[in-house]
Order: sequence, then C-alpha cells, then structure tokens
Amino acid sequence: MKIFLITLVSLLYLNTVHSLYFHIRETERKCFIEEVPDETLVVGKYKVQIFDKDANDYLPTPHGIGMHVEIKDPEEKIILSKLYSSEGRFSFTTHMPGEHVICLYSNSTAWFGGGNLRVHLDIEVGEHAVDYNELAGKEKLTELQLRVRQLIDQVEQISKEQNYQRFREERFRATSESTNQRVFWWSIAQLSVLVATGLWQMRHLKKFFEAKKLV
Amino acid sequence: MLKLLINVSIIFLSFEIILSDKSAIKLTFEVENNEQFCLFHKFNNSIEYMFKYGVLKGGYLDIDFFLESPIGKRVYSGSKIRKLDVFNFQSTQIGVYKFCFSNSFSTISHKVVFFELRPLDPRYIDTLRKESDTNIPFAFTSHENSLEKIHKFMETVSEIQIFHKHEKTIGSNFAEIISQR
Repeated sequence: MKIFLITLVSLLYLNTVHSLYFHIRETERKCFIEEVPDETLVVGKYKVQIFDKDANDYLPTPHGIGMHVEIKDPEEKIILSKLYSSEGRFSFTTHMPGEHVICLYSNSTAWFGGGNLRVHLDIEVGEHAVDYNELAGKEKLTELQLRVRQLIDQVEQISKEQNYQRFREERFRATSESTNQRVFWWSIAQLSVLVATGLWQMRHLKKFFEAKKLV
Repeated sequence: MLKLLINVSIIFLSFEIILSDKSAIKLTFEVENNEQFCLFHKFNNSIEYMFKYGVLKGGYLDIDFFLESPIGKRVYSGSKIRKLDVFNFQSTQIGVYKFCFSNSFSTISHKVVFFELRPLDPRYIDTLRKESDTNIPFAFTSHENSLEKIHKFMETVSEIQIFHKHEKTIGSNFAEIISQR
C-alpha cells in the first residue's frame, strides 16, 4: 500500500510539465541571467523534448541526448558544468553577489543546425527554491512552525537583496568616479597636446619667416 | 480499499494541478542582433494575468514585442518599446500563448531582456500554504491568517525591490558602457 502510494506520488512528480517553454536548435546555446545576492539558493528544473517529423510533435528525446548545464559566476568562473539527462534539476548557492549566467545546450553531436528542441524551464531563486515540504519532514516542524520558517526565509531574502543593492551602489559609484577621472585626464591631455601643437606651429612659422628674410 | 485508493489519487492529482501552476514566472535572457526569441506558456485557466518586460542592456534599450493567443491572434504588440512595459491580459483562450521578443531591427546590439508573468487574481496568488506545497484543504486558523497577511505585505515589498533592482541594473549597465568608452 505504502509502496503503491510512493510510486504514485513519484510518478506524478515526474509528470509535472513546467508550463513555460522555448525552442532552440540542437547545437544552439541559450543563456539566462540571474542577478542574485550572496548566499542565495538557486534551483532550476528543465525538461527537453525533440521535434519528431513523423509525429509532427515534440516527443521525449531518445536515450543519450541530454543537456549540459553550465553556470558562471559574476567573475566568469564556471561554478557548475554538468551533463544531465533529458529531464534534470540543478541547484547552486551563490558565493558572490552579482549576475550569474545559466547556460543550457544539448550534447548533440551534430555539426550545426540539427533538429528543434523544446525546453521546458523553471528557475527559482531564494525562498522560492526551498522545498518546504521536505524541510518540514526533516526538521519535524509543525504547520505553524513551518509558516513562520517560510516567513523568516522570505524576510531574510529581502534583507539580502537590500545588502546587494548597497554593494551595487558602491560599485556604481566606483565606476562613475573612475569614468570621471579618466575623462578629466583625457581632457587635460587633449588640452596640453593642443597647446603644445599651437606653440610649436608658432615657433616653426616664426623660424620660417626669419629664414625667408621676410621679417 | 478501492474507495480509499480513489480518494487518495484524487487528492494527489489535485496537488499536481496546484503544483504545476507556479504563480510568478521570471526570466532574464539575451536576444542576439537580428534575432527573435519566443517563449510559450500553456494557460490552463482563464484568469487575468499581468505581464511585465523590459530591456536591461544593449543599444537604445528598445525591443519589439508581440503576444499571440492560441488561435494566432495578436493580443498585444509593441514596436521599439523603450520603457519597462506592463500590461494585463485575460487568458480567454485556454492553451499555449506565444510571447515573442524581436531584435531584428538592430544589426549590432544584443539586448538583455527580462520578463515577468504573474496572475492578478488573488485566488491564484501563492499563499504560504501553496508555496510549501502543503495545501491541506482546511480553513485558515487565526494564527495562519495573520501569517498570511504578513506574507502578502512581504510579497509587495519584494516586488518593489525587484522593480528598483531592474531600474538600478539599467543604470549601472549604462555606466559600465560609458566607462568602457
């Protein structure tokens, strides 16, 4: 009885169709940008189907075709690069605030072009990524405790975002000041080049006229 | 025994319908020059949705957009939209709607576009119960009611935060482009 229920539930979970999807070619790479603060959990789920000409519909991919998931942190360092099967779930916790890039591409061996793939995707950030059902079971929380825990996580996430904004403002300020400095020195340099050219031209002309015995 | 099985499976199936309809969808992606990128979403119910999109980086921060209903009718379209565009629509046709972003007018700049899709109907907005997938069909206790109220206000705070974050992203992206020049 229990086994039956567990298999039923797991079958239903496997069948959840993520509602949002897009199309890419087999050899194409599609990237998504998530701007997240530090120490934030990001969870992504995807499901990929391939276009079958005979059925004129998108069917599950044959065995062997999966998706590479490559995640880069704001410093362009790869923090996750794994090959999953046609249906997968990936998660990571950010150690640096900023723009993380999540790239998906299939491990198809075609040279270019290839068939069309339909990718269902779902990316959740922060407290939306946490599986509270599992957490409640693991930590043996009552329903009220679980709700309070959910709220705590949400408020914590808001506070992290505020911190991130502060970090962002600092960086923005630094960039603006650096631009200002460079513009300032550039204009000084331009001015001095102009003045030097002017002086040199005057001297050259003076020498020229003196040489031609006109003055 | 059979009745119990049927009841259990009905409860689980209803869970699945609730589970598979996560309320807010947010994504940020890049549209290459001369390209069009379309996203498809299957709507299972006919309620009002709010759709928000905007360009965060690239060129004059403009993009073409159109929304097509399952029968092929253009419900909303805009050309070279520069602002953070927000519009509401009703998913009157049940089926797959097509959200297309087109950068075909630009030959050199890649555009980074974000979008957000959210139901406006308060019945479909995620309560704490829904977010934790423990949607037991009992009435809310008074404690839970207060917690849900707090959650609703926090969601508003979060939305405003995200809105400001997008505005600041546009600003700092612009500053970085200037700095590189």
